Amino acid sequence: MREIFLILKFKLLSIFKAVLDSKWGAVLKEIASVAIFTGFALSTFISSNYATAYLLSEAKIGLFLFHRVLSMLLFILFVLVSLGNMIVAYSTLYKSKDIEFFLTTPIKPIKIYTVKFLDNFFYSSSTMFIFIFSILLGYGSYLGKPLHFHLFSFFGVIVPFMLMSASFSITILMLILKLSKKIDIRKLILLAGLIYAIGVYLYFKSTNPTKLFTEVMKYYPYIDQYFAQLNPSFVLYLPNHWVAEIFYFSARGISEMVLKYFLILISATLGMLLINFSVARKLYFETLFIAFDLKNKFKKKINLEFLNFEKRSVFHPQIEVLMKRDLKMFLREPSQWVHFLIMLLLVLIFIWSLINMRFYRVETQLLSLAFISIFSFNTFLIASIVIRFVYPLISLEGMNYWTIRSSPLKLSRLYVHKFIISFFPILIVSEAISYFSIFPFGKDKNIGILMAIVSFFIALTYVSLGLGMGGYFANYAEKSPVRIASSRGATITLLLGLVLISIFMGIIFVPITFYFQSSKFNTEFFKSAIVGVFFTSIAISVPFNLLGLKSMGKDF
Amino acid sequence: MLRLENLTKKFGDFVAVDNLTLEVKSGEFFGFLGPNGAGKTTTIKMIVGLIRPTSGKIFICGIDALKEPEKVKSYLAYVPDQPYMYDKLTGREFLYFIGGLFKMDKKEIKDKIDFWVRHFEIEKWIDKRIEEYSQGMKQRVIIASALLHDPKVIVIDEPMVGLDPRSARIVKDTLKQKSKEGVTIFMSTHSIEVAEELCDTIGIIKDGKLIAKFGAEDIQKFKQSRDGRFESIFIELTKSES
Repeated sequence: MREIFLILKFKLLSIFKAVLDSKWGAVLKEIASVAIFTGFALSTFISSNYATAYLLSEAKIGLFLFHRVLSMLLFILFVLVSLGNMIVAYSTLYKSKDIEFFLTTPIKPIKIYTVKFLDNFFYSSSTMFIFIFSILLGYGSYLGKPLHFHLFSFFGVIVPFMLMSASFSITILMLILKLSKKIDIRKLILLAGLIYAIGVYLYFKSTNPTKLFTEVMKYYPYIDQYFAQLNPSFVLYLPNHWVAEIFYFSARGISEMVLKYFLILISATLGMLLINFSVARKLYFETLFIAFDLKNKFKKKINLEFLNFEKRSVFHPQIEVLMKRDLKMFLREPSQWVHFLIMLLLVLIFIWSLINMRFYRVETQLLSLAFISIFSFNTFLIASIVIRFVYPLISLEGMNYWTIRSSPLKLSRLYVHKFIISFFPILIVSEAISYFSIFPFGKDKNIGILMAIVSFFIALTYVSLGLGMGGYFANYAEKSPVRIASSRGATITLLLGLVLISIFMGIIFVPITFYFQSSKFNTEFFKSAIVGVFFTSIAISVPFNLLGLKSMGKDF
Repeated sequence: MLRLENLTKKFGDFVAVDNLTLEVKSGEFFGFLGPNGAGKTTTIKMIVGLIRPTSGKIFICGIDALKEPEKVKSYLAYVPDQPYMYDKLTGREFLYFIGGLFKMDKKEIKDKIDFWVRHFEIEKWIDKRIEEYSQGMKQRVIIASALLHDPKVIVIDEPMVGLDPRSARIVKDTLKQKSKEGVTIFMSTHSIEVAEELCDTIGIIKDGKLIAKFGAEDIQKFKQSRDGRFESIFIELTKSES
């Protein structure tokens, strides 16, 4: 244990030393970060409090339905934490630089694993902790819960829940690596992805949220009657259900049931951790070497002729080599194209569900809310893709940046190149989801045009934000795009992105509400929304692009 | 060919390079020596445009490097002390990439790559990914990339790091030959033997200041006046005052 505490102590020391940098610039950066995190926590708290109040007091959906919805959200959280941990774990547990150093010391692999497991869990979940704790505060304060409820809910319920998810996913990762000795790892990853996708699909197929919300209107306002007959049996065995039950029975003041589900949750978490560490004891050391060898497995598989450096092209020679370099490096880095495919799959699933979604017998007020919710999610999706793929672009120049900086290439040209290769793919995704998002609302051409224009400016704004902040927080020493995309700078960028969602949704709120309430298309409202989005986008894009460009010229 | 005028670089309160003025003529092989932390790499990074000076001027081929950086860089080649390269590219792709950055014609790039690959004996490795290279192999590819566009000035930081004796010989001969052809070479090194063997002029930097500059004749005179070793002069000049 001594070694584990020693490593953790020095890890924490290095973090605090970096945070407590006495330079003015660094202090200002810290103050800005704290302000953004606080603002984010506060707005999450207010939103959570408002949403709880709205659903329980205004919409009167009842405690039972409320906690069924919460259960679904917790299921999504479980999957997100699991996927997030699996992706970041590959970088943290197998690719980070200090692993090679630790292997030369007389520290047992299981101890290295323990340190890296904790590092990974807290690194990839830290923002989630702030987010969830703020939600808990909002929810708890509406129900008038005391402080110890919040502490218990967070440390006793949410942290074990997330720990179980993380342990589960890292166990899967180790098994995938172990099996990759016999089976092609790409097939294994594909299989794991498919199992996750099928799991999510089956869960929502059986819980059926769309049906839930349309059917529920028949019973309104006696919604609990409908839900009394609903509960797919397998859901009872899922950890999200146990957590939701803890909150449900806690809200109703039934302590015995709270204790029952708490014990189930804790036992399951301990069981999962036990399995995880047993697997790690057997497999971590072995899979480390499998992971080291992985890069040698996939060479020369992709050989696209147009990416051949020897081929001439119509582009300026500098742009040509930058494009070929970026594409080749993207295709040769599994963590890039695998994530890209996962994101693409998620976008396609989302589009497919939009195509099949219909709102029957829904009140106009709820229609506006649904529309705004779907577009908020669209924008969130764009923000997530930007954080993962655009934010790291400048950092990914890496320590090789000397080649660019010492060459006769204008940094503005490099920046424009980065902007173009980010903007057009993001624009395509943004326009595609925007196009399909109007399907559930009757495919009105006018609203389609409005959202196409808004989506253009959303793509412009988020790409500018991602590149600008990515440049400002550039870390050329970090090789892993995943770690760059989950760094503190990336988190702050995502939080700013969330603030932007509310600004954009605020701008389109009036014309959309008017449209659904009066079933009429008001040109003036739509024009003003477009002007508003245009000026907001320009006001944000220009300074962030300038920030990104300026940051690229910093001392290297 | 290369002129530094009152070049200063401060990092907060710390002065890394202090009012440095020096000139390296066309075809001159200049060795830049100094103890660890003297300001050698900072000076080099300012010359090649990786760091912006706090004050002072840099002229390369008579052009102000701070006013026309892209023009200056087209005459310049840089070999860093750490051979950081794009791991996922092959050596050949890396050379094509550098050729493209210097706006070279494809045919010219191909001919030059063929020549330098043979010259540095890297045929066997050039189509493998850089992640498989040893440090010495990377160093050879980087030096080849620096020579690709026929630079007028080569700025080179610790060129012999990681090279085996045979590769080091090839690199030394190549640089000497380039210098004879009129290329200006500004080389930072810790190796006094390498500096003595290759350089026409040696400058010694300490605490960011140029404290001595020797031509070949000065070096011989100094060596005769002491124990016959240039190393002794270096140690004497750079000893810390306590």
